[in-house]
Amino acid sequence: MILLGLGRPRGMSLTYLICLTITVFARRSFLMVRFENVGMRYGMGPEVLRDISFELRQGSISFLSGPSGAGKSSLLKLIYMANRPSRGLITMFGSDISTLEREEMPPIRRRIGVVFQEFRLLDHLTALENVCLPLRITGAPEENYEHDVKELLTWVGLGNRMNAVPPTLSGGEKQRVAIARAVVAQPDVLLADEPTGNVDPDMGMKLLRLFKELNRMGTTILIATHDMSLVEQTQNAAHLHIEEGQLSVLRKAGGAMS
Amino acid sequence: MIGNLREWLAAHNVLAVSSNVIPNSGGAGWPLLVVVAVMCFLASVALGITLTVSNVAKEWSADLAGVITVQVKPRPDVDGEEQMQTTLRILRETPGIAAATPVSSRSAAELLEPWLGGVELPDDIAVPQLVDVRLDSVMQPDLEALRLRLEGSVPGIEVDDHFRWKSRLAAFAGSLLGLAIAALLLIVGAAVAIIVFATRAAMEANRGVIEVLHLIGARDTFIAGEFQAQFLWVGLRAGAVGAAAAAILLMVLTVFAGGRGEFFLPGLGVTWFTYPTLFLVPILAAGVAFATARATALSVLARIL
Repeated sequence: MILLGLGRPRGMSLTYLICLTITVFARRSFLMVRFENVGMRYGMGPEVLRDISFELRQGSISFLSGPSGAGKSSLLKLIYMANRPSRGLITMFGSDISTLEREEMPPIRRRIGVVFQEFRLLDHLTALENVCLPLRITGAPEENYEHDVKELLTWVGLGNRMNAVPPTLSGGEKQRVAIARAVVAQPDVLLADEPTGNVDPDMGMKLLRLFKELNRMGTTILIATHDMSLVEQTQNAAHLHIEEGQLSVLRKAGGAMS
Repeated sequence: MIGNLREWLAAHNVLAVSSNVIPNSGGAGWPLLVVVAVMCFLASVALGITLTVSNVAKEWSADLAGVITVQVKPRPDVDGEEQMQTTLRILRETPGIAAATPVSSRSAAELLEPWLGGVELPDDIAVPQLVDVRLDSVMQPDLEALRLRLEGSVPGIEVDDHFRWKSRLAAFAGSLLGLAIAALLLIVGAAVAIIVFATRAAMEANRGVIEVLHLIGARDTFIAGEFQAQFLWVGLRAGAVGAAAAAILLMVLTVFAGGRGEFFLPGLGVTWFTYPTLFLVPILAAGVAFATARATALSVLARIL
Protein backbone atom coordinates (compact mmCIF):
# COMPACT_ATOMS: atom_id res chain seq x y z
CA MET A 1 0.00 0.00 0.00
CA ILE A 2 2.74 2.41 0.91
CA LEU A 3 4.73 1.43 -2.15
CA LEU A 4 1.68 1.87 -4.35
CA GLY A 5 0.95 5.20 -2.72
CA LEU A 6 4.41 6.46 -3.52
CA GLY A 7 3.85 5.76 -7.16
CA ARG A 8 5.05 2.84 -9.25
CA PRO A 9 8.21 3.21 -11.36
CA ARG A 10 7.53 2.76 -15.03
CA GLY A 11 7.97 -0.84 -16.16
CA MET A 12 7.57 -2.38 -12.71
CA SER A 13 4.89 -5.08 -12.81
CA LEU A 14 2.13 -5.44 -10.24
CA THR A 15 3.26 -9.03 -9.57
CA TYR A 16 6.74 -7.77 -8.74
CA LEU A 17 5.30 -5.22 -6.33
CA ILE A 18 3.16 -7.85 -4.60
CA CYS A 19 6.19 -10.13 -4.28
CA LEU A 20 8.25 -7.25 -2.91
CA THR A 21 5.56 -6.38 -0.35
CA ILE A 22 5.26 -10.01 0.74
CA THR A 23 9.05 -10.24 1.04
CA VAL A 24 9.20 -7.14 3.23
CA PHE A 25 6.44 -8.40 5.51
CA ALA A 26 7.94 -11.88 5.61
CA ARG A 27 11.32 -10.47 6.51
CA ARG A 28 9.74 -8.37 9.24
CA SER A 29 7.83 -11.35 10.59
CA PHE A 30 11.03 -13.35 10.82
CA LEU A 31 12.68 -10.74 12.98
CA MET A 32 13.01 -12.23 16.43
CA VAL A 33 14.92 -9.38 18.08
CA ARG A 34 15.39 -5.83 16.89
CA PHE A 35 17.29 -3.06 18.68
CA GLU A 36 17.08 0.51 17.42
CA ASN A 37 19.39 3.13 18.95
CA VAL A 38 19.13 1.50 22.36
CA GLY A 39 20.91 3.02 25.32
CA MET A 40 20.98 1.78 28.87
CA ARG A 41 22.26 3.03 32.18
CA TYR A 42 21.99 1.68 35.71
CA GLY A 43 20.28 4.27 37.90
CA MET A 44 21.91 7.66 37.44
CA GLY A 45 25.23 6.17 36.28
CA PRO A 46 26.84 6.54 32.86
CA GLU A 47 25.42 4.69 29.86
CA VAL A 48 26.75 1.14 29.74
CA LEU A 49 25.21 0.58 26.31
CA ARG A 50 25.11 3.30 23.66
CA ASP A 51 23.24 3.47 20.37
CA ILE A 52 22.91 -0.27 19.96
CA SER A 53 21.16 -1.25 16.75
CA PHE A 54 20.98 -4.79 15.41
CA GLU A 55 18.57 -7.50 14.41
CA LEU A 56 18.43 -11.24 15.00
CA ARG A 57 16.45 -13.06 12.37
CA GLN A 58 14.76 -16.39 12.89
CA GLY A 59 17.15 -19.30 12.60
CA SER A 60 20.29 -17.20 12.90
CA ILE A 61 23.24 -18.00 15.12
CA SER A 62 25.39 -15.18 16.43
CA PHE A 63 28.26 -14.72 18.82
CA LEU A 64 28.74 -11.70 21.02
CA SER A 65 32.28 -11.06 22.17
CA GLY A 66 33.97 -8.31 24.08
CA PRO A 67 36.15 -7.73 27.11
CA SER A 68 34.83 -8.11 30.64
CA GLY A 69 32.61 -5.18 31.61
CA ALA A 70 32.05 -4.17 28.00
CA GLY A 71 28.26 -4.67 28.31
CA LYS A 72 27.68 -8.22 27.00
CA SER A 73 25.59 -9.29 29.98
CA SER A 74 23.72 -5.97 30.04
CA LEU A 75 22.80 -6.47 26.39
CA LEU A 76 21.53 -9.97 27.09
CA LYS A 77 19.55 -8.69 30.10
CA LEU A 78 17.73 -6.28 27.82
CA ILE A 79 16.81 -9.14 25.49
CA TYR A 80 15.50 -11.40 28.24
CA MET A 81 13.73 -8.42 29.79
CA ALA A 82 15.48 -8.35 33.14
CA ASN A 83 16.15 -4.65 32.55
CA ARG A 84 14.50 -1.92 30.53
CA PRO A 85 16.37 0.35 28.12
CA SER A 86 16.93 3.99 29.05
CA ARG A 87 16.22 4.95 25.47
CA GLY A 88 15.63 3.46 22.06
CA LEU A 89 13.31 0.76 20.83
CA ILE A 90 13.46 -2.99 21.44
CA THR A 91 11.14 -5.26 19.49
CA MET A 92 10.78 -8.91 20.47
CA PHE A 93 8.85 -11.23 18.18
CA GLY A 94 7.21 -8.18 16.64
CA SER A 95 6.14 -6.58 19.95
CA ASP A 96 7.59 -3.36 21.30
CA ILE A 97 8.54 -4.46 24.80
CA SER A 98 8.36 -0.95 26.26
CA THR A 99 4.59 -0.91 25.70
CA LEU A 100 3.95 -4.43 26.98
CA GLU A 101 1.60 -4.86 29.91
CA ARG A 102 2.98 -6.83 32.81
CA GLU A 103 0.78 -9.86 32.11
CA GLU A 104 1.95 -9.93 28.47
CA MET A 105 5.58 -10.53 29.47
CA PRO A 106 5.48 -14.19 30.63
CA PRO A 107 4.43 -15.59 27.22
CA ILE A 108 7.32 -13.69 25.60
CA ARG A 109 9.79 -14.79 28.27
CA ARG A 110 8.74 -18.40 27.71
CA ARG A 111 9.91 -18.08 24.10
CA ILE A 112 13.39 -17.17 25.33
CA GLY A 113 15.77 -19.68 26.89
CA VAL A 114 18.59 -18.22 28.94
CA VAL A 115 21.83 -19.77 30.13
CA PHE A 116 22.91 -17.39 32.86
CA GLN A 117 26.60 -16.76 33.45
CA GLU A 118 26.17 -17.59 37.13
CA PHE A 119 23.79 -20.49 36.27
CA ARG A 120 21.01 -19.31 38.65
CA LEU A 121 19.89 -22.82 39.51
CA LEU A 122 17.53 -23.29 42.45
CA ASP A 123 19.71 -24.88 45.11
CA HIS A 124 16.88 -26.67 46.92
CA LEU A 125 15.71 -28.49 43.78
CA THR A 126 17.40 -31.48 42.16
CA ALA A 127 18.99 -31.23 38.73
CA LEU A 128 15.91 -32.95 37.27
CA GLU A 129 13.51 -30.55 39.00
CA ASN A 130 15.55 -27.54 37.87
CA VAL A 131 15.38 -28.65 34.26
CA CYS A 132 11.64 -29.42 34.56
CA LEU A 133 10.92 -25.91 35.86
CA PRO A 134 10.22 -24.11 32.52
CA LEU A 135 7.67 -26.84 31.68
CA ARG A 136 6.24 -26.98 35.17
CA ILE A 137 5.37 -23.27 35.22
CA THR A 138 3.22 -23.78 32.13
CA GLY A 139 1.03 -26.16 34.12
CA ALA A 140 1.86 -29.16 31.93
CA PRO A 141 1.42 -32.51 33.72
CA GLU A 142 4.74 -33.95 34.87
CA GLU A 143 4.21 -37.28 33.14
CA ASN A 144 4.09 -35.46 29.78
CA TYR A 145 7.65 -34.25 29.97
CA GLU A 146 9.53 -36.21 32.61
CA HIS A 147 10.84 -38.80 30.14
CA ASP A 148 12.10 -36.14 27.70
CA VAL A 149 13.80 -34.21 30.48
CA LYS A 150 15.59 -37.35 31.70
CA GLU A 151 16.69 -38.07 28.15
CA LEU A 152 18.04 -34.52 27.80
CA LEU A 153 19.94 -34.77 31.08
CA THR A 154 21.40 -38.09 29.97
CA TRP A 155 22.44 -36.50 26.70
CA VAL A 156 24.36 -33.74 28.49
CA GLY A 157 26.09 -36.39 30.59
CA LEU A 158 24.12 -36.01 33.79
CA GLY A 159 22.15 -39.26 33.64
CA ASN A 160 23.57 -40.35 36.98
CA ARG A 161 23.30 -36.93 38.65
CA MET A 162 19.62 -36.21 38.09
CA ASN A 163 18.73 -36.32 41.77
CA ALA A 164 21.70 -34.29 42.93
CA VAL A 165 21.10 -30.75 44.17
CA PRO A 166 23.23 -27.94 42.67
CA PRO A 167 25.45 -27.37 45.73
CA THR A 168 26.79 -30.92 45.25
CA LEU A 169 27.43 -30.46 41.51
CA SER A 170 30.71 -29.29 39.98
CA GLY A 171 30.87 -26.06 37.97
CA GLY A 172 30.70 -27.97 34.69
CA GLU A 173 27.75 -30.04 35.85
CA LYS A 174 25.89 -26.91 36.94
CA GLN A 175 26.64 -25.40 33.55
CA ARG A 176 25.09 -28.37 31.79
CA VAL A 177 22.01 -28.32 34.03
CA ALA A 178 21.61 -24.61 33.25
CA ILE A 179 21.89 -25.30 29.51
CA ALA A 180 19.41 -28.17 29.74
CA ARG A 181 16.95 -25.90 31.56
CA ALA A 182 17.36 -23.21 28.90
CA VAL A 183 16.68 -25.54 25.98
CA VAL A 184 14.14 -27.95 27.45
CA ALA A 185 11.09 -25.93 26.37
CA GLN A 186 12.50 -25.55 22.84
CA PRO A 187 12.58 -21.75 22.92
CA ASP A 188 12.46 -19.60 19.80
CA VAL A 189 15.48 -17.64 21.00
CA LEU A 190 18.33 -19.02 23.09
CA LEU A 191 20.65 -16.64 24.89
CA ALA A 192 23.78 -18.04 26.48
CA ASP A 193 26.15 -16.05 28.62
CA GLU A 194 29.56 -17.78 28.61
CA PRO A 195 27.98 -21.23 28.22
CA THR A 196 31.28 -23.08 27.92
CA GLY A 197 33.18 -21.13 30.55
CA ASN A 198 33.17 -23.93 33.13
CA VAL A 199 33.45 -27.05 31.01
CA ASP A 200 36.39 -28.87 29.47
CA PRO A 201 37.05 -28.46 25.72
CA ASP A 202 35.38 -31.78 24.84
CA MET A 203 32.21 -30.89 26.70
CA GLY A 204 32.45 -27.39 25.21
CA MET A 205 32.42 -28.88 21.71
CA LYS A 206 29.53 -31.15 22.65
CA LEU A 207 27.51 -28.21 23.94
CA LEU A 208 28.32 -26.23 20.80
CA ARG A 209 26.97 -29.15 18.76
CA LEU A 210 23.79 -28.99 20.86
CA PHE A 211 23.44 -25.29 20.09
CA LYS A 212 24.03 -25.92 16.39
CA GLU A 213 21.46 -28.69 16.40
CA LEU A 214 18.90 -26.40 18.04
CA ASN A 215 19.79 -23.72 15.51
CA ARG A 216 19.31 -26.19 12.67
CA MET A 217 15.81 -26.84 14.03
CA GLY A 218 15.03 -23.12 13.80
CA THR A 219 16.06 -21.69 17.16
CA THR A 220 17.69 -18.28 17.01
CA ILE A 221 20.85 -18.33 19.09
CA LEU A 222 23.00 -15.59 20.58
CA ILE A 223 26.05 -16.71 22.54
CA ALA A 224 28.11 -14.26 24.58
CA THR A 225 31.59 -15.69 24.90
CA HIS A 226 35.28 -15.04 25.37
CA ASP A 227 36.10 -18.30 23.62
CA MET A 228 37.13 -17.35 20.09
CA SER A 229 37.49 -20.99 19.09
CA LEU A 230 33.70 -21.33 19.28
CA VAL A 231 33.34 -18.40 16.88
CA GLU A 232 35.91 -19.81 14.49
CA GLN A 233 34.26 -23.22 14.42
CA THR A 234 30.87 -21.80 13.48
CA GLN A 235 31.41 -20.42 10.02
CA ASN A 236 27.81 -19.47 9.32
CA ALA A 237 27.49 -17.42 12.51
CA ALA A 238 27.54 -13.67 12.77
CA HIS A 239 30.09 -12.17 15.09
CA LEU A 240 29.09 -9.10 17.07
CA HIS A 241 31.65 -7.33 19.19
CA ILE A 242 30.91 -4.94 22.02
CA GLU A 243 33.44 -2.60 23.54
CA GLU A 244 32.82 0.32 25.89
CA GLY A 245 29.10 -0.07 25.39
CA GLN A 246 29.18 0.19 21.60
CA LEU A 247 28.39 -2.62 19.22
CA SER A 248 30.19 -3.44 16.01
CA VAL A 249 29.81 -6.29 13.54
CA LEU A 250 32.98 -8.24 12.88
CA ARG A 251 31.37 -10.80 10.65
CA LYS A 252 28.05 -10.76 8.87
CA ALA A 253 26.59 -14.15 8.31
CA GLY A 254 23.53 -16.19 9.02
CA GLY A 255 21.36 -13.14 9.28
CA ALA A 256 22.76 -10.89 12.01
CA MET A 257 23.63 -7.45 10.78
CA SER A 258 24.21 -4.05 12.23
CA MET B 1 -5.19 -37.01 55.68
CA ILE B 2 -3.65 -33.59 55.01
CA GLY B 3 -1.39 -35.26 52.42
CA ASN B 4 -4.43 -36.71 50.64
CA LEU B 5 -6.18 -33.36 50.70
CA ARG B 6 -3.07 -31.75 49.26
CA GLU B 7 -2.98 -34.29 46.41
CA TRP B 8 -6.68 -33.83 45.73
CA LEU B 9 -6.33 -30.05 45.60
CA ALA B 10 -3.36 -30.37 43.26
CA ALA B 11 -5.15 -32.86 41.01
CA HIS B 12 -8.19 -30.62 40.75
CA ASN B 13 -6.14 -27.52 40.15
CA VAL B 14 -7.70 -25.82 43.16
CA LEU B 15 -4.36 -24.60 44.37
CA ALA B 16 -0.84 -24.34 43.12
CA VAL B 17 0.08 -26.88 45.72
CA SER B 18 2.99 -28.90 46.10
CA SER B 19 5.28 -27.65 45.17
CA ASN B 20 8.57 -27.10 46.59
CA VAL B 21 9.51 -24.50 44.00
CA ILE B 22 9.85 -21.93 46.79
CA PRO B 23 11.82 -23.32 49.75
CA ASN B 24 9.68 -23.64 52.83
CA SER B 25 11.70 -21.33 55.00
CA GLY B 26 12.42 -17.69 55.62
CA GLY B 27 8.91 -16.76 56.73
CA ALA B 28 6.66 -19.78 56.78
CA GLY B 29 8.85 -21.87 59.09
CA TRP B 30 8.11 -23.20 62.58
CA PRO B 31 8.37 -19.85 64.43
CA LEU B 32 5.44 -18.58 62.36
CA LEU B 33 3.61 -21.84 63.04
CA VAL B 34 4.00 -21.27 66.80
CA VAL B 35 2.88 -17.63 66.61
CA VAL B 36 -0.17 -18.44 64.48
CA ALA B 37 -1.02 -21.39 66.76
CA VAL B 38 -0.99 -19.04 69.76
CA MET B 39 -3.19 -16.55 67.87
CA CYS B 40 -5.57 -19.36 66.98
CA PHE B 41 -5.65 -20.50 70.60
CA LEU B 42 -6.59 -16.98 71.71
CA ALA B 43 -9.14 -16.69 68.92
CA SER B 44 -10.65 -20.03 69.92
CA VAL B 45 -10.89 -18.96 73.56
CA ALA B 46 -12.51 -15.67 72.48
CA LEU B 47 -14.92 -17.60 70.26
CA GLY B 48 -15.67 -20.00 73.11
CA ILE B 49 -16.37 -17.08 75.45
CA THR B 50 -18.55 -15.40 72.82
CA LEU B 51 -20.62 -18.55 72.38
CA THR B 52 -20.78 -19.14 76.11
CA VAL B 53 -21.87 -15.61 76.96
CA SER B 54 -24.40 -15.66 74.17
CA ASN B 55 -25.72 -18.98 75.43
CA VAL B 56 -25.89 -17.81 79.05
CA ALA B 57 -27.59 -14.54 78.09
CA LYS B 58 -30.16 -16.48 76.09
CA GLU B 59 -30.80 -18.86 78.99
CA TRP B 60 -31.17 -16.01 81.47
CA SER B 61 -33.51 -14.09 79.22
CA ALA B 62 -35.56 -17.21 78.48
CA ASP B 63 -35.80 -17.99 82.19
CA LEU B 64 -37.07 -14.52 83.01
CA ALA B 65 -39.13 -13.81 79.91
CA GLY B 66 -42.19 -15.84 80.86
CA VAL B 67 -42.20 -15.13 84.57
CA ILE B 68 -43.39 -12.38 86.89
CA THR B 69 -43.33 -12.32 90.66
CA VAL B 70 -46.11 -10.89 92.78
CA GLN B 71 -45.13 -9.86 96.28
CA VAL B 72 -47.84 -9.59 98.91
CA LYS B 73 -46.56 -7.56 101.83
CA PRO B 74 -48.22 -8.30 105.16
CA ARG B 75 -50.12 -5.40 106.73
CA PRO B 76 -51.36 -5.24 110.31
CA ASP B 77 -54.81 -4.09 109.21
CA VAL B 78 -55.41 -6.76 106.56
CA ASP B 79 -55.67 -10.51 106.85
CA GLY B 80 -52.73 -12.09 105.01
CA GLU B 81 -54.64 -15.16 103.92
CA GLU B 82 -57.39 -13.03 102.44
CA GLN B 83 -54.78 -10.92 100.61
CA MET B 84 -53.28 -14.05 99.10
CA GLN B 85 -56.62 -15.55 98.04
CA THR B 86 -57.72 -12.31 96.37
CA THR B 87 -54.43 -12.08 94.58
CA LEU B 88 -54.58 -15.67 93.32
CA ARG B 89 -58.19 -15.23 92.18
CA ILE B 90 -57.40 -12.12 90.17
CA LEU B 91 -54.36 -13.73 88.65
CA ARG B 92 -56.17 -16.90 87.65
CA GLU B 93 -59.01 -14.88 86.12
CA THR B 94 -56.66 -12.85 83.98
CA PRO B 95 -56.31 -14.09 80.39
CA GLY B 96 -52.67 -14.90 79.49
CA ILE B 97 -51.68 -16.22 82.91
CA ALA B 98 -50.75 -19.88 82.61
CA ALA B 99 -50.19 -20.56 86.31
CA ALA B 100 -50.03 -18.69 89.61
CA THR B 101 -48.40 -20.64 92.43
CA PRO B 102 -47.79 -19.30 95.92
CA VAL B 103 -44.20 -19.77 97.05
CA SER B 104 -44.18 -21.77 100.25
CA SER B 105 -42.75 -20.19 103.40
CA ARG B 106 -40.05 -22.88 103.35
CA SER B 107 -39.00 -21.91 99.79
CA ALA B 108 -39.08 -18.22 100.76
CA ALA B 109 -36.82 -18.99 103.71
CA GLU B 110 -34.42 -20.78 101.35
CA LEU B 111 -34.28 -17.68 99.18
CA LEU B 112 -33.27 -15.63 102.20
CA GLU B 113 -30.73 -18.18 103.39
CA PRO B 114 -27.76 -16.71 101.47
CA TRP B 115 -28.22 -13.42 103.33
CA LEU B 116 -29.49 -14.55 106.72
CA GLY B 117 -27.95 -17.99 107.03
CA GLY B 118 -29.82 -21.13 108.03
CA VAL B 119 -31.38 -19.66 111.18
CA GLU B 120 -35.07 -19.96 111.97
CA LEU B 121 -36.86 -16.65 111.46
CA PRO B 122 -38.68 -15.25 114.50
CA ASP B 123 -42.47 -15.23 114.09
CA ASP B 124 -42.72 -11.47 114.53
CA ILE B 125 -40.69 -10.77 111.39
CA ALA B 126 -43.15 -10.18 108.59
CA VAL B 127 -41.89 -11.98 105.54
CA PRO B 128 -43.71 -11.03 102.32
CA GLN B 129 -45.63 -13.80 100.62
CA LEU B 130 -44.60 -14.48 97.01
CA VAL B 131 -46.57 -15.74 94.05
CA ASP B 132 -44.69 -17.24 91.15
CA VAL B 133 -46.66 -16.36 88.01
CA ARG B 134 -46.03 -18.17 84.70
CA LEU B 135 -47.21 -16.31 81.60
CA ASP B 136 -48.77 -17.91 78.59
CA SER B 137 -46.14 -18.14 75.85
CA VAL B 138 -48.71 -17.42 73.11
CA MET B 139 -51.09 -14.87 74.60
CA GLN B 140 -49.21 -12.39 76.79
CA PRO B 141 -51.35 -10.58 79.40
CA ASP B 142 -51.59 -6.80 79.67
CA LEU B 143 -49.20 -6.43 82.61
CA GLU B 144 -49.96 -2.74 83.24
CA ALA B 145 -53.73 -3.41 83.50
CA LEU B 146 -53.01 -6.39 85.76
CA ARG B 147 -50.80 -4.28 87.99
CA LEU B 148 -53.49 -1.57 88.33
CA ARG B 149 -56.17 -4.15 89.10
CA LEU B 150 -54.08 -5.90 91.73
CA GLU B 151 -53.01 -2.65 93.39
CA GLY B 152 -56.63 -1.49 93.48
CA SER B 153 -57.89 -4.74 95.02
CA VAL B 154 -55.10 -5.82 97.36
CA PRO B 155 -53.36 -3.28 99.56
CA GLY B 156 -49.58 -3.66 99.86
CA ILE B 157 -49.02 -5.59 96.64
CA GLU B 158 -46.09 -5.29 94.26
CA VAL B 159 -45.81 -6.73 90.75
CA ASP B 160 -42.25 -7.35 89.59
CA ASP B 161 -41.86 -8.15 85.89
CA HIS B 162 -38.03 -8.30 86.32
CA PHE B 163 -37.61 -5.60 83.66
CA ARG B 164 -34.81 -3.81 85.53
CA TRP B 165 -32.98 -7.02 86.22
CA LYS B 166 -33.41 -8.23 82.65
CA SER B 167 -32.20 -4.96 81.14
CA ARG B 168 -29.11 -4.95 83.36
CA LEU B 169 -28.47 -8.56 82.48
CA ALA B 170 -28.86 -7.81 78.79
CA ALA B 171 -26.45 -4.87 79.09
CA PHE B 172 -23.93 -7.04 80.94
CA ALA B 173 -24.21 -9.88 78.42
CA GLY B 174 -23.99 -7.38 75.53
CA SER B 175 -20.81 -5.86 76.99
CA LEU B 176 -19.20 -9.27 77.42
CA LEU B 177 -20.23 -10.26 73.92
CA GLY B 178 -18.87 -7.01 72.47
CA LEU B 179 -15.61 -7.51 74.33
CA ALA B 180 -15.23 -11.06 73.05
CA ILE B 181 -16.01 -10.03 69.45
CA ALA B 182 -13.55 -7.11 69.69
CA ALA B 183 -10.89 -9.50 71.00
CA LEU B 184 -11.65 -11.90 68.13
CA LEU B 185 -11.35 -9.11 65.55
CA LEU B 186 -8.13 -7.83 67.11
CA ILE B 187 -6.65 -11.32 66.99
CA VAL B 188 -7.65 -11.76 63.33
CA GLY B 189 -6.17 -8.31 62.58
CA ALA B 190 -2.94 -9.20 64.36
CA ALA B 191 -2.79 -12.54 62.53
CA VAL B 192 -3.23 -10.77 59.18
CA ALA B 193 -0.42 -8.33 60.05
CA ILE B 194 1.87 -11.20 61.08
CA ILE B 195 1.17 -13.11 57.86
CA VAL B 196 1.76 -9.99 55.75
CA PHE B 197 5.08 -9.54 57.50
CA ALA B 198 5.98 -13.23 57.17
CA THR B 199 5.04 -13.32 53.47
CA ARG B 200 7.19 -10.29 52.78
CA ALA B 201 10.05 -11.86 54.73
CA ALA B 202 9.64 -15.11 52.80
CA MET B 203 9.64 -13.22 49.50
CA GLU B 204 12.70 -11.23 50.48
CA ALA B 205 14.49 -14.42 51.54
CA ASN B 206 13.63 -16.00 48.19
CA ARG B 207 14.20 -12.99 45.97
CA GLY B 208 16.68 -14.91 43.81
CA VAL B 209 14.24 -17.77 43.26
CA ILE B 210 11.46 -15.34 42.35
CA GLU B 211 13.72 -13.58 39.84
CA VAL B 212 14.59 -16.86 38.15
CA LEU B 213 10.93 -17.86 38.01
CA HIS B 214 10.07 -14.52 36.44
CA LEU B 215 12.84 -14.77 33.88
CA ILE B 216 11.79 -18.23 32.72
CA GLY B 217 8.24 -16.94 32.22
CA ALA B 218 6.34 -17.78 35.40
CA ARG B 219 3.22 -15.72 35.90
CA ASP B 220 2.67 -13.76 39.12
CA THR B 221 -0.25 -16.02 39.99
CA PHE B 222 2.05 -19.08 39.81
CA ILE B 223 4.60 -17.49 42.13
CA ALA B 224 1.92 -16.15 44.50
CA GLY B 225 0.37 -19.63 44.41
CA GLU B 226 3.55 -21.09 45.87
CA PHE B 227 3.42 -18.70 48.83
CA GLN B 228 -0.31 -18.94 49.40
CA ALA B 229 -0.11 -22.74 49.45
CA GLN B 230 2.64 -22.64 52.08
CA PHE B 231 0.70 -20.22 54.28
CA LEU B 232 -2.55 -22.15 53.81
CA TRP B 233 -0.97 -25.21 55.41
CA VAL B 234 0.58 -23.10 58.16
CA GLY B 235 -2.88 -21.66 58.95
CA LEU B 236 -4.54 -25.06 58.86
CA ARG B 237 -1.99 -26.78 61.11
CA ALA B 238 -1.59 -23.88 63.52
CA GLY B 239 -5.38 -23.42 63.67
CA ALA B 240 -5.90 -27.11 64.50
CA VAL B 241 -3.33 -26.98 67.30
CA GLY B 242 -4.70 -23.70 68.72
CA ALA B 243 -8.33 -24.84 68.59
CA ALA B 244 -7.51 -28.19 70.19
CA ALA B 245 -5.65 -26.45 73.03
CA ALA B 246 -8.56 -24.04 73.55
CA ALA B 247 -11.06 -26.92 73.56
CA ILE B 248 -9.04 -28.65 76.28
CA LEU B 249 -8.91 -25.43 78.32
CA LEU B 250 -12.67 -24.89 78.03
CA MET B 251 -13.32 -28.50 79.06
CA VAL B 252 -11.11 -28.08 82.12
CA LEU B 253 -12.85 -24.79 83.00
CA THR B 254 -16.26 -26.38 82.56
CA VAL B 255 -15.39 -29.28 84.81
CA PHE B 256 -13.54 -27.39 87.54
CA ALA B 257 -14.98 -23.89 87.51
CA GLY B 258 -18.35 -23.42 85.95
CA GLY B 259 -20.05 -26.70 85.23
CA ARG B 260 -22.85 -26.06 87.71
CA GLY B 261 -24.91 -23.02 88.46
CA GLU B 262 -24.20 -21.18 91.67
CA PHE B 263 -27.07 -19.55 93.62
CA PHE B 264 -29.05 -17.45 91.13
CA LEU B 265 -26.28 -17.53 88.46
CA PRO B 266 -26.59 -20.28 85.91
CA GLY B 267 -23.65 -22.51 84.91
CA LEU B 268 -20.78 -21.45 82.63
CA GLY B 269 -22.85 -22.58 79.67
CA VAL B 270 -20.12 -24.26 77.57
CA THR B 271 -22.29 -26.66 75.65
CA TRP B 272 -21.11 -29.51 73.48
CA PHE B 273 -22.14 -27.40 70.51
CA THR B 274 -19.27 -25.03 71.36
CA TYR B 275 -16.58 -27.62 70.68
CA PRO B 276 -17.34 -28.44 67.02
CA THR B 277 -17.72 -24.69 66.44
CA LEU B 278 -14.14 -24.19 67.65
CA PHE B 279 -12.93 -26.27 64.76
CA LEU B 280 -14.05 -23.54 62.42
CA VAL B 281 -10.95 -21.75 63.68
CA PRO B 282 -8.45 -23.78 61.58
CA ILE B 283 -10.60 -23.20 58.50
CA LEU B 284 -10.82 -19.49 59.25
CA ALA B 285 -7.07 -19.35 59.97
CA ALA B 286 -6.28 -21.18 56.73
CA GLY B 287 -8.57 -18.86 54.78
CA VAL B 288 -7.09 -15.73 56.33
CA ALA B 289 -3.53 -16.99 55.80
CA PHE B 290 -4.27 -18.00 52.20
CA ALA B 291 -5.93 -14.73 51.21
CA THR B 292 -3.41 -12.54 53.04
CA ALA B 293 -0.39 -14.32 51.58
CA ARG B 294 -1.84 -14.19 48.07
CA ALA B 295 -2.70 -10.49 48.26
CA THR B 296 0.68 -9.64 49.77
CA ALA B 297 2.64 -11.71 47.25
CA LEU B 298 0.77 -10.23 44.28
CA SER B 299 1.29 -6.68 45.53
CA VAL B 300 5.02 -7.29 46.06
CA LEU B 301 5.38 -8.97 42.65
CA ALA B 302 3.62 -6.07 40.94
CA ARG B 303 6.55 -3.87 41.97
CA ILE B 304 9.11 -6.20 40.36
CA LEU B 305 9.84 -5.89 36.64
